[in-house]
Amino acid sequence: MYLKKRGSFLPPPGCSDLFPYRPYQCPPEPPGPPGPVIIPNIIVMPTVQRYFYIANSDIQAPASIPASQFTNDDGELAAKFPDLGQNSYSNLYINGMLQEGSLYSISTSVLTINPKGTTIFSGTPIALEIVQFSARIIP
Amino acid sequence: MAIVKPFVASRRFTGVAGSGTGTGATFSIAATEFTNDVGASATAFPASFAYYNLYINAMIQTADTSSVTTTAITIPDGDVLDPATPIVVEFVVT
Repeated sequence: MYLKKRGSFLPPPGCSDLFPYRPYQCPPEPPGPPGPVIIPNIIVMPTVQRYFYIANSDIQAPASIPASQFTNDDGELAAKFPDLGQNSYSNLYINGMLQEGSLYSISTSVLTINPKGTTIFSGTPIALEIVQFSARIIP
Repeated sequence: MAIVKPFVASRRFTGVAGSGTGTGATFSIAATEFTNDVGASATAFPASFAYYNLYINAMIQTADTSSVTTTAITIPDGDVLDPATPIVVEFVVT
């Protein structure tokens, strides 16, 4: 029950007047009409960053190449690789060929390649592609 | 940075037929008997290469003329060659 302030001696329609000199007791008012339902647009946005390095010596054993020796998409030396969280993946291209994932691992500071018995000759371009996804909500 | 291009290069090894050992099917020339592109003694042939060409007396040879390992090239019946015959093995690496 809702209480309504007394304005006159007669209670408003639907309200009871149980106690004089006290507010009327009224039934709850019906809810208003439903408003428009807002469903936000969610856009998944991929961003790609590429890093390039040219081997300056033959690579036969597992080798670590610091991120700082790579150039980025702007042709400038990279400081670090982006942090690969749960919403990212990477591709490694050696001499233009996509490589299997078990051949390498990356951290923000270094790329480690295990050539597994073959030789990556000096002069071979090594390209690392990192794709990150983020979600943007547009109301 | 310029456009990234794939890496392709050749590794040439020069020697003479007289450096070979064995006769008939087993005639082979050790990699260490060759000199490399910079004129130094070779230590081994490339372990990883796309393909190779063998030139005997400047003539390119068919694939069944030879086989290679990292340590030697086998040229069956190559012992009939004059010892001064130049042998060039060109490996293409990528």
